[in-house]
Amino acid sequence: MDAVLDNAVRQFMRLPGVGRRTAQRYVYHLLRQGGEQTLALASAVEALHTKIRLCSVCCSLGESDPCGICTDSRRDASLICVVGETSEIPVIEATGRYRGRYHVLGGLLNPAAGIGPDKLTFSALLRRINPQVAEVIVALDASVEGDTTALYISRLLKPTGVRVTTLARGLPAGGSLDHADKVTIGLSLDGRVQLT
Amino acid sequence: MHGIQAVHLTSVQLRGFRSYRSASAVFAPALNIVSGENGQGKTNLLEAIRLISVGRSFRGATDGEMVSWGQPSGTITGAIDDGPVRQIVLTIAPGERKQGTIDGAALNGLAELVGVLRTVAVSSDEIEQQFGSQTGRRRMIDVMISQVDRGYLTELRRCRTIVAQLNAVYRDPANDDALCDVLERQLAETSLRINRRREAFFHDFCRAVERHFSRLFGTGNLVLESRPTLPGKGELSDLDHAVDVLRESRRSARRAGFAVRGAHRDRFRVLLDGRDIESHASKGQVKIAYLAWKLAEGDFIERETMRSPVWLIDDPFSELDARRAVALLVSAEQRGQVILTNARTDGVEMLKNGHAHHLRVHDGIVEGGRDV
Repeated sequence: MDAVLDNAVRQFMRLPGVGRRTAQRYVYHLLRQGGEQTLALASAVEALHTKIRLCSVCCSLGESDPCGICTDSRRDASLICVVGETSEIPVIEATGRYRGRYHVLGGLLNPAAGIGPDKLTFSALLRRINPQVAEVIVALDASVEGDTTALYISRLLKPTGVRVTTLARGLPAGGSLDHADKVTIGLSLDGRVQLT
Repeated sequence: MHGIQAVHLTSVQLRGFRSYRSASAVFAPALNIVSGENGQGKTNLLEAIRLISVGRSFRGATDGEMVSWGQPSGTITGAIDDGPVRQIVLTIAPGERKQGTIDGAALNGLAELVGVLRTVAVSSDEIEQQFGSQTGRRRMIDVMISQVDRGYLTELRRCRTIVAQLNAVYRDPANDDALCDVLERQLAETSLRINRRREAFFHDFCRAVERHFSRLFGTGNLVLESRPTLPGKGELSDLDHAVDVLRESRRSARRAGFAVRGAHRDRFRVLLDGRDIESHASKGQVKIAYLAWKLAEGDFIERETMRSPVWLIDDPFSELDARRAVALLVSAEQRGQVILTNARTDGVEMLKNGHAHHLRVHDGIVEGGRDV
């Protein structure tokens, strides 16, 4: 393969989930497209690097620093929702039920993969806790790494006295009790809510 | 046991698996005898069936070892009659994750495979590699409970992940104690849940093993004993105590570079007349204890699922004396489907208590289907 093509294939292979064959398909697809589309893609990729920055308050990725959410005075500054990645903010926003602010950790604790507390934005989170903040909602994956990170945050923030909560776990909406596993039912019982 | 539903493997197809480039075998619902000279692939056939049952080889082989020489991957397809007919397809390739389908739907993790085809495997490899050690017996118990309780398997996987994280923290002096505290609490929680399930299993299982042993052996008092490394019987009230014990063992864990306590380190002893069989029993006694364990395993699967397991018995006549081998086979045959490999014919002659489906393996090809 020519050096230019080979280089392009290798660059695509660096993306998650993309192997050599898929990378080759992308490259030949771009070659079949007009130059305008390929240049538009190149420009969009370049802009990711030159125009996207880290918000110095919440550590999310966006075009402005501080980001739009952090500067939006209509958002409730007493609530901070902690997420693993910026890509999870739109998921919470899509519920339409949260009007507070966010904090992005930049990943989850995973010491076996070399991600210890120093690799995440815990100290920035700690700096944000002031008397105005009433609650920190930890919204992380329901995995070992997510649980470890949530417990670590709870321990980290304990001296501040701020209320730390986590998302409820249990039966999915529309789920049948008959088909749920014991762990899920147990968590649902732990997180039961009062009806009257 | 009354009301037990018979489940049986109706067929298996192998491609690129060990000595089989491409082969298929059809099985009868009761006794199946797979015969052939040594080295022709009889045990490979049982290994393939066990692999689609619990996701791992009973010989402790890696995927690379099980794929035929020169082939990129191996595929096992099994059809199971469990009322409706179910189909499992499992593909293995060296260095890659196992992939497969159940009834055409892609597996979302190997855990989904476990419990579809429940098997009891009886093999001399397992005696040497698993039954002969306290940790090996823990693995045997874990596979056994996982076959009837997928929640238990989920908990084991969770425990394994936490242990990997904790080990990494113990090995890196830069990691702070706060992270140790968090992970040790998670390990204590998951260990207590695992121990609670093991406790519930262990009482009836021990009595069954002891009963089968005295029936097979006549004399001697066989006792199973669990030795958990964390205190408590799995109650939530035990959690704080378990966390304290883990914290107290942190220094030795850091020195060792791994978590020295937890459900992943629990041990299971087998005592014959009060003495450990690993160091004090003869080879013959260990084999009888193993057989008693296997018969109790069948009891357990039947009691928990109201379904018979499929018995995979590898060459019993070369490992056991004829009387005990026949006792095992008759007991297994009365309970459900048996797939038995056999290099000798004299043992089979002793099994003239009904029809057997006879298959012959020769040079990676399965021939047969005739009744004897």
